[in-house]
Amino acid sequence: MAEQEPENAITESVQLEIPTGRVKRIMKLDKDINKVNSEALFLITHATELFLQSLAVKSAGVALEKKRKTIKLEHLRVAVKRHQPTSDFLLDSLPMPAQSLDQQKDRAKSRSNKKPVPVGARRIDAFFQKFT
Amino acid sequence: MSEKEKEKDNAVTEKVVSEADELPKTIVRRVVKDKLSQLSKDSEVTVLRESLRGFCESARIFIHFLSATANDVCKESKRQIINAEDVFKALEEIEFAEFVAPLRTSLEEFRQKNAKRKSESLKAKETSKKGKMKEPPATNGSGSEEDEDESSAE
Repeated sequence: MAEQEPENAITESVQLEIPTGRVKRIMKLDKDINKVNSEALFLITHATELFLQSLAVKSAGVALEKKRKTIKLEHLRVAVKRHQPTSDFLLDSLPMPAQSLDQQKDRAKSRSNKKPVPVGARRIDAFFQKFT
Repeated sequence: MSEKEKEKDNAVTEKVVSEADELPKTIVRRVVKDKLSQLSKDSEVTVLRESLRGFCESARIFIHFLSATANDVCKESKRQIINAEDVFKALEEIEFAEFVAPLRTSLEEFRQKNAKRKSESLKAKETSKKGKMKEPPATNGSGSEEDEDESSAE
């Protein structure tokens, strides 16, 4: 039966790039999290890879729109903004580009004018301020 | 130790995370570039260093967000250990349901792989047991001896 299958066939399809140990370490920074079983850890790691891939594709799309072949932080930011679920948890936490201070000040102003988050949306800013 | 604590305080105010609590940059770059080269083999897209930092941060925050949500789901069911179903429910909650299908497939493969590993290690244990049974038997004795005893009792 399956015993005859070479191991390569199975390992190739479930090849994770991101080390699960590192993911577990990152998760454990949250004191609320007690234990996670190996399947859940595998899924979270894999989901993160899928997320990265999706973000990469979207960012590359933005870069191409602007006729660029280099993904700049600004392209990543636009990609995040355009995808509502990602924007909800990530937009405020993205690192700032190392550009002119004037631009950063403008952004700070526009942030204070942003629309209120819809009722029921998860607010986790305080959570992330712990780590960032 | 106090120096480390000071560093930690600085880290909180300066928005810096220690490298060991981040994903390895080389791996994040590989995931991003592999995906991009998958899409278009003609145009070579490059990623600026600060954009790579953005990807790393995004992934790190995603891990926190997804695991915190899965943890909530787990606690609602009055359990202590986050399991696969908690993660699937969490993905739907955070509106990343498009990941559920591919993840279910890879979970099946992961389970099969583990089952195979377990059966292989069980076999290895059995063969080592048989090797030990060639020595003088303990109180259990081998099956054949018991049969003889039963027949003699008749």
